[in-house]
Amino acid sequence: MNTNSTKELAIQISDLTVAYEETAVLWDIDVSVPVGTIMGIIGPNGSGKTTLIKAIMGIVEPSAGSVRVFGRPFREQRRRVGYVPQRTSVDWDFPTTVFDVVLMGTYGSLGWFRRPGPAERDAAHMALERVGMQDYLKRQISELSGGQQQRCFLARALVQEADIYLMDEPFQGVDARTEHAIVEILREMRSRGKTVIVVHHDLQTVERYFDLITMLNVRVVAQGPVAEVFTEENLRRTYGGRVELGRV
Amino acid sequence: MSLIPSIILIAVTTAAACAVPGVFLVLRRMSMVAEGVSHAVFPGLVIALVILGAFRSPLLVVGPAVLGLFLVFAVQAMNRTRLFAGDAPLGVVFPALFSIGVIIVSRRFSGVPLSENTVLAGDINYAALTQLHLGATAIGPRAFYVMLVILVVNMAFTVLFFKELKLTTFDPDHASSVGFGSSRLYYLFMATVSITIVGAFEAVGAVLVVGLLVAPAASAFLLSKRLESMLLLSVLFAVLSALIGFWIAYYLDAATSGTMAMMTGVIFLLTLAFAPRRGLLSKLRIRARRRITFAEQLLVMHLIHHVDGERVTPACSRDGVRQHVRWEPKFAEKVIRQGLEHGYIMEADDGLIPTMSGRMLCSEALLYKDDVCECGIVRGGLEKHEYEQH
Ligand SMILES: Nc1ncnc2c1ncn2[C@@H]1O[C@H](COP(=O)(O)OP(=O)(O)O)[C@@H](O)[C@H]1O
Ligand SMILES: [Mg+2]
Repeated sequence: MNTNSTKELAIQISDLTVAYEETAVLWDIDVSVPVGTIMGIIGPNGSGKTTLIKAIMGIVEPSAGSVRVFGRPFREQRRRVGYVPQRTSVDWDFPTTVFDVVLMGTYGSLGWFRRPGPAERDAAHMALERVGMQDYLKRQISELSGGQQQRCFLARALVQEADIYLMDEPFQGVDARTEHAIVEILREMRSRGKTVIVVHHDLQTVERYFDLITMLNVRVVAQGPVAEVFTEENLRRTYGGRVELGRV
Repeated sequence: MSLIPSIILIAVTTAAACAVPGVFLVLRRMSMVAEGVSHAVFPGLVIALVILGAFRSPLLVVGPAVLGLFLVFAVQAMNRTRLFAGDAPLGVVFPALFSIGVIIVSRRFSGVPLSENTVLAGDINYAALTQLHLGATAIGPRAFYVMLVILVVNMAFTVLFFKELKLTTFDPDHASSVGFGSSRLYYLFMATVSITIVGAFEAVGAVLVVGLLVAPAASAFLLSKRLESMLLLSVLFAVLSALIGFWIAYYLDAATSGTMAMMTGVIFLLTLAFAPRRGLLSKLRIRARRRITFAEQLLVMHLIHHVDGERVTPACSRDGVRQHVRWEPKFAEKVIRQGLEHGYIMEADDGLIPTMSGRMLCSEALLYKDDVCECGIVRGGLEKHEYEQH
């Protein structure tokens, strides 16, 4: 872990404000993520965690502020960012197979009109193997368990061979084995110099999984190395009175 | 060209032309929008007729399509403000527009060649009468050629943008993150939908348009594992509905468009009932099986507690089980029988005992976080039984 401020920044968010119809859901956010770290984002429901992830990628337009990815606007760095949306954000009854979903990870580099070829298919096979889903290629996605859906989504992001991965609640509703497998992949990514940002909801695993943590509730309540900022005091400021519930 | 082949040509091309974009409308849960547009284009069509006074102008398709499109976006903008909930704007605005069209027509405003009846139920027979002429020979109904062009446009659009349509429909956020901002493609798609509706509206009427856009795609959805097969099945169901509908209407001397619309509904109900995995019957079967499996887990849990803990023989007898787990005697009998058959439990001298595979069945139930709730029930249930015993 390295929190040295002179180190190159994978993501730098400055003065970011996002509003939906004149209601601010993110207010004056400053967050810096150094290369090669795993950062967790925690905060109560509706605190703007998903919105922050989306704002980094320009999926929602900020009202103010800027986001830099390796020092440049996101639009110029798309290929270097892989996104794993919240599993529940899509309709898993959509008529498609596991392999097809993973192949979608290659569409970005293909651009408009070009179809995936053998190289893309190989990449998809390899990504599926990495998440241990190679036996489910032809499965319809509606026949997957929660954990398998999450692995499928992760594989789709892995195909992109990105340098930064943004994951929205990847551990939500998955079995213990999948959680373990995902954590292993995160650590392996870090060892290869990748940067990972994970929206997280289980306070008990924060200390084990993350190097850095951002505690969010519309504003950034605290951020920094887990050992320094993940304190009872900051938890109370983030979650209000509900903190005891999470820390049993 | 004579009437019957003309009608069949119009029906088949219209059905196929609607069935293709219908797939994406259904997948995006936009069936209401389809209905909305088909209502909204109507006043546009009537006004265009009043102004142009004749059927031949291509403006007759473009004008109403643009109006329909404009209204869809107006309503979506309204939705985004969250001043109204969900479909409310569609529900209010579109019928109002539609009735404006009906009023204009019913007052026989400057001799518009439409009647209220034609507009609602459609009059494919009338469309079949308007033949296109090449020199002196009739070369087929005009509506057929209009719909053929629209069909080709829709198919070309779908093939050309297949990858992009799939991506943006399945996961718009992810699509946007990799550079396929969905709005441009979406406008283009809605434009093809509007043009399809206007063309089909004139040929077959409002009721059948909505039927052809939504029902065949919804039926195909229930049967398809892949998007490609959903598209093919959707076209197949639409064409079948049109042909069978025509045949029934012909023999019963019923309204042609109305009978075709009914057939799209019949096919949908049949697939809804009998589709192998997503059909209602198969869902009921799956639920019944799950209920048994859960009951078997409950039974094994119960037995494990009594075999491993201090042994209370009566609790493990068939009667004991029935009392402790509180099932209907018949259901208890069934669960025990199934448990024995599956090898989760076996019969010993002093009652039932859990087997190794039974124990595995239970630990499976406890493994997954997803099932925390069910496990809670299992544990809670057992604690209660133990409590009652002591
Ligand atoms: N598309 C949207 N339009 C309007 N409000 C939204 C939209 N998406 C999210 N919100 C609101 O923004 C707030 C933050 O949402 P979100 O970022 O999803 O929070 P989190 O992921 O932390 O639970 C919530 O109050 C939510 O209701
Ligand atoms: Mg969220």
